[in-house]
Amino acid sequence: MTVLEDEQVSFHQKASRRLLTGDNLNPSDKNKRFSLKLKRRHSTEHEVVPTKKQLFEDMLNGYRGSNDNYRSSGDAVLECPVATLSNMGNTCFLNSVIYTLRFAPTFLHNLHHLIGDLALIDARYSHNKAKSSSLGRNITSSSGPSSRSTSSKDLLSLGSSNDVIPKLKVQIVTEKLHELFVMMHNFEVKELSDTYQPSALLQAIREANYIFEGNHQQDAHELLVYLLDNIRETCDLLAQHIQHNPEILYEAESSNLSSSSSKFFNVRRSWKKPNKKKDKNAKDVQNEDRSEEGNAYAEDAIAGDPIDISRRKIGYNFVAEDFEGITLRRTKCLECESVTERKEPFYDIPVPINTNENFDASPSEIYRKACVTYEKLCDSNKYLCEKCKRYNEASREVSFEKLPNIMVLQLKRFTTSVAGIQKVNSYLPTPLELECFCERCCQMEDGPALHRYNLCCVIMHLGGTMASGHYISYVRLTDHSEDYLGCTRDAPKGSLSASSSEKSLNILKYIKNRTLSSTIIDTKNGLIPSKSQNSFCRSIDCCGIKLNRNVFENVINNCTKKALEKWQIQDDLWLECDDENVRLITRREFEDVLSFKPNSTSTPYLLFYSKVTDRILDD
Amino acid sequence: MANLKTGGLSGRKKTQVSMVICEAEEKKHRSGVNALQVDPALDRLYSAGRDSVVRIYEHEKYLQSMEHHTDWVNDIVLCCGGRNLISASSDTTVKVWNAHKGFCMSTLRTHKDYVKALAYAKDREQVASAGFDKSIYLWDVNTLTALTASNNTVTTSSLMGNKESIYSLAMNPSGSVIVSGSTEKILRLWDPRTCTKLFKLKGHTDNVKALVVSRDGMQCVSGSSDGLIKVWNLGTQRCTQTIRVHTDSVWALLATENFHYVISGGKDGKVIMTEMKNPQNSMIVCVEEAPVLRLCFTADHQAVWVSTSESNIKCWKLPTDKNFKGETSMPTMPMSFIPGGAAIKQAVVLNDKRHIITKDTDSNVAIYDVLRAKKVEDLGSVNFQEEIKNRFKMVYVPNWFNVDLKTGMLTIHLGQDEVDCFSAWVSARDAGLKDCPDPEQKVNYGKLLLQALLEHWRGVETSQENKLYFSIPPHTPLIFSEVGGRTLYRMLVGDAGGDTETALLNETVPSWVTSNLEDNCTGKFIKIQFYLQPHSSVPSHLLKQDRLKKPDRLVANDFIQCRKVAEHILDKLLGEGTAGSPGSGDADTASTTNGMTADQIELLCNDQVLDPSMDLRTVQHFICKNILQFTLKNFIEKTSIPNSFNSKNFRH
Repeated sequence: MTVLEDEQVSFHQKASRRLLTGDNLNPSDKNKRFSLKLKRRHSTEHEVVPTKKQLFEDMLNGYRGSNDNYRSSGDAVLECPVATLSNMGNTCFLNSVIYTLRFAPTFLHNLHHLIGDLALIDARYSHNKAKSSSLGRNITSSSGPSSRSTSSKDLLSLGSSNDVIPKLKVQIVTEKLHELFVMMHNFEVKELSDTYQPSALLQAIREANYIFEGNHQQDAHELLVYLLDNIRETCDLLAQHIQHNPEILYEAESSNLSSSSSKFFNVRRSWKKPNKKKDKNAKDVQNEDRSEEGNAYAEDAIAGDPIDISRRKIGYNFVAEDFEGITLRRTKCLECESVTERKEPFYDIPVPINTNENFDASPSEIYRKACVTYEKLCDSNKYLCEKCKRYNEASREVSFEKLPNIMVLQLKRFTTSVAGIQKVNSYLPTPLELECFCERCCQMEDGPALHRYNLCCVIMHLGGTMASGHYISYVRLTDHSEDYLGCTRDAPKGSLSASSSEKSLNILKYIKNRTLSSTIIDTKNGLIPSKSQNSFCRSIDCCGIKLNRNVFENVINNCTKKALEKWQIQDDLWLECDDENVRLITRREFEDVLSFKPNSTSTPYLLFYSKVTDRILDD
Repeated sequence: MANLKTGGLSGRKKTQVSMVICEAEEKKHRSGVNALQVDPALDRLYSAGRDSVVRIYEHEKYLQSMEHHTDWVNDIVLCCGGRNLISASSDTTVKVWNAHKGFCMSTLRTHKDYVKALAYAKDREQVASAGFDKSIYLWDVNTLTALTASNNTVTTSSLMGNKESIYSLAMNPSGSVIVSGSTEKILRLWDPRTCTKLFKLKGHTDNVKALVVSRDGMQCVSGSSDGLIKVWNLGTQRCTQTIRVHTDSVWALLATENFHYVISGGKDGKVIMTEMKNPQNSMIVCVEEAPVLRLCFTADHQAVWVSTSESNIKCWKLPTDKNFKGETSMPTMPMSFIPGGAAIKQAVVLNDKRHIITKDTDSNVAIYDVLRAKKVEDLGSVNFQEEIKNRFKMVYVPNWFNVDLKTGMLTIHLGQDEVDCFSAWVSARDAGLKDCPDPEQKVNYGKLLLQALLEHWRGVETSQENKLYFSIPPHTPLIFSEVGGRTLYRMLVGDAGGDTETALLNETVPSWVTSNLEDNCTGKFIKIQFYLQPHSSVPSHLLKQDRLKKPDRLVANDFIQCRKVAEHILDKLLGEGTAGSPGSGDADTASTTNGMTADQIELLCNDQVLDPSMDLRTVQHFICKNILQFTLKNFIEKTSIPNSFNSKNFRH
């Protein structure tokens, strides 16, 4: 895939212009080449439905009209405002997780920068190597994440001698995930109603983890855990590189950085701290000279999230930042009444399903009771007290010292028994808003809690057993552009999507561009963009979600016609993502999906909640 | 002993054999004191200890120990005008004692978990016991004291309703009401005369560990781990007073005769006397250095005996009216002081798996010999960790016993569960056994100890081979119990010869003990696999050709010494290099090996030279670290070979 640097901004504008003129083919030759290339790619890898559709749309000059007409022709994809993924044979577990991660707040943005940083390091290494290497060393052989082809036979050669640094499979999977998101973005930009097969990612996953081999249905939770783990390890890799070679980022990075006071959609105390911390850390490593700037941020970063001092400071581990929480286990001997505490990090919370639960309790209470547990160690399960030097009764409490920004609840629907893995289909409500049950919020008995959680994604499992089931994910449609506001890691799109043949050019262009953008220097007080578009991190143009406004508005209009109430664009809307069938649904419809239905085997399985901090207490 | 269940071979649980290493008479409490009772007639104080012993102090001086329990004694009551004592223990038993003479009369085994509390209704001579099994049993004391070996059944009624473990119990003297406190945080009341449930009292927010009922049964006071003392009116079923004088959990309560004052003690170490109707009026009786566990009035009710989680017992004067009015100040020193002993808090088994180094609450360090069941050295307050390091020996003996410190004394458990007591074979010489014909003969530590423990038992035949090499102190308690469960039987080693004891032992001693004592259990040797390989420096002409093909894989007992391996090498692996003729035999050995002896063979493991007296399991444990197969390289040096290199390998 080639998109050249100097086309970046204009490309985006042209894309939006296209919507108005209905002209799918851009007058610019380069872009024409781009779309042609894309089509060719399709014909080798996918079925050839797209071309017809493309022409059909051309004929219509972009006019969408009522989408009902298209539905009957089986082209449900026309209703999708976003790119879709197709099922390659029992891969709905993969698709549901990909959709979920894509729409999880800040995930795309953070993943992009991770990949960007790694690419930078690769570039630096190859640059150094090229400088000092002997004759015959080909600069262009240095690798970048998307210089790899995605056909399966090439995957085996990943990490081959071409690499300056041999790639770990862990890194490859993360890169493939990013590439997938880039592809999906491009589909959206092109307004292609084609559905994409994430075969490259699946292959990379299978190569890295044999559990996912074979064509049978897998557990979506297992995949999610694996991917998050993977990305976390990739972050660690990045940290290692930086530790080994602090100068790498020093040379490559420009000097732009500042703290912005961005406010995210729905989040008052923002997650900007990760950005700041990251910059501070990156700079920390390289930085003995620029200590002043470092110090300014040091205060900010330290004044931020005080939790978990033990976490490494170097390198930005956004998985740890966003997904990691800490449980606290308190054991009290009932004889001497001395208390021992143990803290442990976690990435998701298993929620036992109590079939005897009466639902008089509010949903928040149900979850709190299931997660914040109290048990008595007694009878044959007594506790060996170190003080008393004997077995005594004890009370054990598990509570949460810190709940993560993105909290993943796994409902324990699969139990292993003699008969194999059985599914528990009992109903558990899925509240759209959940009260926070971290320790401090639980202690706020009178008065409001410090945090609350909004449901952002749900992965549902349909079916009676795990083997024969199907996964559908529901994601909340929010304006994700807020994630990119004020990002100080303003990486242009092109650095990550260069083909091998043009890598050298890109590096030079990239560096040139960096120096250009460094003239847009920011003061410590805020970002002063020279162009209005620069307030957005450009990664939004690389792998961000681009909603097809037309489809979106048309669906809204239809719904408004049908429904009696007036619709706001900003109203709560969700996407139901069932492999390639993605459609907009209203909040009402979604709540209906989540409601109690007797004998139903469609059950929510993984719940993703994003944190809203209402207020902060001084310690 | 009355009411003894047949143990040993019962049920699925395995039986273990335990012993306590202690003095003939432990005059001082070795750990905290859980309960106190006063006999005014004889001026005696009875104290129930965590070291499993109930002690009698007459005129505030130690008189006698009542040893029969095997775990913490949690509560005691004096009945029948001081003639009998009932005790409740974490060994799940309730025992009936002759208090005057100090011996155990019967054991009640009805409870299934720790028995935590007793209550006494003096007018009816009725005792109630309760514990973690959530049950309360009512006993008629006269029936209990009449139990004999032949007349050994007693009926009991039980009070139902508790949903969680019971930590406290109280009755009024007439026995018209009984109240229990538990982790349920509520008080439950019954009428013990009819065994009917009465009502519940809610209010506390934590475990209730102390209770007192008034004489007329109309009021009761409760002390809880929430730090509060609550006074309840049982007629109206309401809490009439909440007293907040303690800063931590309340674990002990007393009420004056007219129920005007309550005296409380707790985790904060304070003993406080408070006027119930007017809680502002309170005075600190004393401040102890450790959490207060129990309070008991002296005969004249002018002072209280206070026991804590340390072993000292002190008597403190109670405030009088004048003290409350502030006219006179409280004494700062106790009226009486009964000193306690130290409890062992740390125990580390040394490498030879025979000696244990301990550190107690007085910071004294001592060395015990498990095999002899006695203390062998008192080191005073030396540095514990240093001593452990200094006593390190490069020797490996498998684990063969478990150590338990719950009574503050060393309890050694022998079993066949995770730790097999028969796994430690050592040479007689290493075991320090005198009069052993062959110092190299292998003896088994577990077997030696069991033999010594059961020395006086006439139930087992010991063959000549298994003669007893030593004796252990006859006062050593010998205990049979279920693993992780109840105690079956306890006696002193020296008493095993008695008729009753022999009969009971016949029933109790588990089969795995008897079978191993009677035979030789040589089949129980532990084997180790290893490879034997010539070192590269061994001139090949010295080796028998046919053995050069591949490394020798051998299996041997784990206690075989390297010396023996060297001998094996000499026999089997060295010889003139002619193919075949394996039958050249030992007759030619001398000539084929050029007059070499086993002493000249050095064994190496991981490039470390091994001492010839080191046994294989030591090598495996310290040098190879759990690798079952290791390579022994051997090389030979001959004095006739000019030593141009490898000079360090020369031995003279």
